[in-house]
Amino acid sequence: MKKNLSILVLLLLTVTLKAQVPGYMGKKFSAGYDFHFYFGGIDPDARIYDATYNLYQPSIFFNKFHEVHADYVLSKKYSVGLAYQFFKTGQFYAESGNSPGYGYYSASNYLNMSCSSIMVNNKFFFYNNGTALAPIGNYGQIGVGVVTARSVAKVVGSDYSTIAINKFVTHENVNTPIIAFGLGNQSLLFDRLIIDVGVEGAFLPFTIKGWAHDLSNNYSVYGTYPREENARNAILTRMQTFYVSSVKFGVGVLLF
Amino acid sequence: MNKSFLLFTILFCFVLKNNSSAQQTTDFNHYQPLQASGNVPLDFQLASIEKFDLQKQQIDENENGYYKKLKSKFYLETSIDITHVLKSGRVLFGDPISEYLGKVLDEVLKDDQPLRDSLQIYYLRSDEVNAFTSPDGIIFVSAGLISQLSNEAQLAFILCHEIQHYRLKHGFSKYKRDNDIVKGKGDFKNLNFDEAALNHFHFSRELESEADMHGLELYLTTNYAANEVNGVFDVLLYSYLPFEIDSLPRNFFNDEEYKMPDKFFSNKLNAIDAKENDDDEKSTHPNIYKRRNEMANLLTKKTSAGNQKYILSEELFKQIRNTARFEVLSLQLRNHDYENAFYTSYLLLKEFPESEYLNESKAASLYFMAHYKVNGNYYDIHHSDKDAQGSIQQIYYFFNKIPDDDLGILATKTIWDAHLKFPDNVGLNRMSTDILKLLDDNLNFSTSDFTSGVTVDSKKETEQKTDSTQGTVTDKYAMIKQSRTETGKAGDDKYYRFAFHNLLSEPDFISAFNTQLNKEEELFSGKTKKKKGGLGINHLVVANPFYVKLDFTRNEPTRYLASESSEDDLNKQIEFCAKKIGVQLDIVDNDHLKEADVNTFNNMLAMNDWFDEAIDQPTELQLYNTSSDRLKKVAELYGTDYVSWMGIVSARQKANYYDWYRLCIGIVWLPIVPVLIYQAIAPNYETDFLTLVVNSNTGKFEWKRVRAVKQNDNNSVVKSNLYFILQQIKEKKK
Repeated sequence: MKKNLSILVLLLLTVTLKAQVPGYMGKKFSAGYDFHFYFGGIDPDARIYDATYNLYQPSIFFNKFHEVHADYVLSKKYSVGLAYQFFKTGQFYAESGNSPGYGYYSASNYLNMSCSSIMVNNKFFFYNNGTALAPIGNYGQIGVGVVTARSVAKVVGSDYSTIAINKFVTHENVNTPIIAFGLGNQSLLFDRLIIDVGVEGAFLPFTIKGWAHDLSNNYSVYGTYPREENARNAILTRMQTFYVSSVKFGVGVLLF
Repeated sequence: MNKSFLLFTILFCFVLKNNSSAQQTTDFNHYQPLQASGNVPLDFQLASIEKFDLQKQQIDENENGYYKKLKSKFYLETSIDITHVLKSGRVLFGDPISEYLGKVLDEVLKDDQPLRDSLQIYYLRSDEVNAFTSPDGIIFVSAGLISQLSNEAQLAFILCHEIQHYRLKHGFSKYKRDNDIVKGKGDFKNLNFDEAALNHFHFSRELESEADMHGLELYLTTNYAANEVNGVFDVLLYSYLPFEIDSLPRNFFNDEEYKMPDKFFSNKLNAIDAKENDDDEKSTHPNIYKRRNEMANLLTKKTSAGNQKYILSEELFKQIRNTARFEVLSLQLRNHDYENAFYTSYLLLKEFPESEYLNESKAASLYFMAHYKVNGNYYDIHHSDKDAQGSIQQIYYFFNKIPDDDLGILATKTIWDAHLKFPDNVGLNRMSTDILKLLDDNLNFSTSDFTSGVTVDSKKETEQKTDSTQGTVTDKYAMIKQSRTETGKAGDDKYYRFAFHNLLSEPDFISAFNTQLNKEEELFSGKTKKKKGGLGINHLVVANPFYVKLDFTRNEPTRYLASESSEDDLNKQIEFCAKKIGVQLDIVDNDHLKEADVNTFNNMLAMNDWFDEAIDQPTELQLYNTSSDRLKKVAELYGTDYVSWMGIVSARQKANYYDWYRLCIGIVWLPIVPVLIYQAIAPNYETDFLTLVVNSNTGKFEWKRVRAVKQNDNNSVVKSNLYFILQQIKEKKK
């Protein structure tokens, strides 16, 4: 981690010394907040749970998450930044099968998830004839980072609810890499205030593994398949559906 | 009473000052293109919107709503147009020609002071034969027109005609009629394009006839001779010809050794054959025949006490006419009309053979033509000799026929002869170096190709007949009657060997020629090396930055008032960015002139003249500019070597509704659909930032950049790009 940080600082220092970086009127460093949202009905399991874990299923609802970020302009066409995103959500998943000592069971589980990610964002400001001047204008964005989900899983309905409550309540934490991509436009007001709009998507590579498993097992756990793994897959799936696409509106401040 | 007396005194002093300015004797031997002088008139100070506000007050509140609206639109458009003309550098004030025009106007309107007070008159820097009047009472008279006149009375009649356009409000009448035709109102319903055009021309001719008629009435109240009216129509009829008719003698370029072959001269020139009674159905003016006859008929019915060709003075008229002719020459050079410039300098040299300016201009016209011809751009500047008439046809024919080698040598000989005669002339100095480079690089000549010896045969073969008309200046309209054909004989193909027979004994010429031959890296290379880094410039003077806002979603794309307002902001934005980046920048601002800002106006004039001449030159040639000296003086005045032109053109275009491929992207990635819908509906924008930087010492463009940014021209985009441009200018060379 220290090594990575050192490389980043060195990189920033090197490019800061580069003479040909205009930024906006010489200002290159900015910080901001983005609000991301999109319709949540993509995944049928993307339901929302209230504080007492009662299922709440609005007819139309949004996935939404928040982002704070800081960016630094490195060249006419390129800026690099760090972004921290966070959101809360829930995920429904069902388990059924024969469990040693309990026999056949069927349970409806939920996960109450608190997620956050940290990413290095690369914004490429583009125009056909190379006239882009970061940090304003259209940009394409690629970010890489890690997303963390802290989740509490709880059975909300089961044939053997008492047993289930005792045995299946679990905490699952998932850390997984994330690759984000997006298109946007940054404009500036009063030489200071950044307005950022765009669309964004992200891909969690390890979700595929869970999907492959879920497709073959249809959310059921038999034999020795660990239910923690099942929960992790559900978490990954939920995060992927959350990240698959979003529209963002952001405000920021050009600092120095 | 005291107030009136004071006003009278001030006016009197002003008139005296103006008189003294107009009566200054122009030094034609060391001629300098005219500049403005005195106080900046209000016409040049006001912005379009301010003029529009003033003119709007003339609209009668009780008038019909349609006319009120139409008048308002008319005043807005004309305010914009006239302001543009006044600030373009094509109009001068306080110069000898404007002052003279003012005096003739005083004379014409001596009995109608209120009308005189409502009129302004300025010299229009154009070699076209033209005069026009703006609806707010500004009369513009071109150098081309004055150069063609025979006397003061003719000018007076032209002014009488122009006054009537103002007095009878022809500008608005025409505008209203055109509007009715376009909108199909009243009698103009269901007209096709041709019928609409014919109606437009017909009405325009009616207004011209009316101006002629009332103009004559006014003219007859003056002491000018009535019979001079007819002469005005000769001026107009032959306005396509130069101001004098005098064939270039075939031996014009010859000296005792160098003989120009006959084959470059045409043996048959077209007769001068202006059609007086041509079809004027598609013309804004009645044909000359009709106008002449109409005036003649009116003259038979009216009496005139006037019989004078000159009221001010013949000497003054001729001085002003010569000034106008020198101006025409400078304008022809600036407009790359080198064949006509050569002929104009030839005509004027007969009267002013020792004029440094004329010798320089003659050399310059050959210099430019040689460069254009050698570099294959000659047809960009050539006039076809097929349809030309009179002596100018010989000029067109000659320069078309003469091969590039021969023209290069002729130009070298002419330039060096002039250079040795006027060694301190900066322009000739620069041209003398450039032309040797052309001989060496492009034509591969060296000193060994030329000889100072004389071969009897060649001399015999190239003997030319002399032209008996040389040295006699006669009236153009009398000369037209003496049209003639010429004959000659072929000359020696290697006649050019003797071109430098005099120069080969000149150490300066030999030294310069040999230096050029030995040069590995040329001084004025047309090829520009791609430089890395910036220009390393910390101080530059910027010609009034321009801003053009276009909106192609409207019928009339140019948004004049918005452009004018953005121009004001642009000055501030440039200054702001320059200050932030540490570039010392002086803007020559002629948009906000005050009464005492005549120097600013003249500085802008010099910069515009240089720019107008340079911008149309083929980029690869990097030629001498006839306004280089003036540009350098402006730069020196501000304490820098660098002059810059900056501007922004922003365009708004209709959205691309038919970009179907976008929908395909939307199908692949659903969230992008809102973006695609926005793109499909929202207009497209492009903002172009134009920057030119010139080193006034070398006269070369250091930088020519256009940043075409596909963004709206909002404040941040403009500032961001200006900052970047100035940073590039300031950054050190690598």
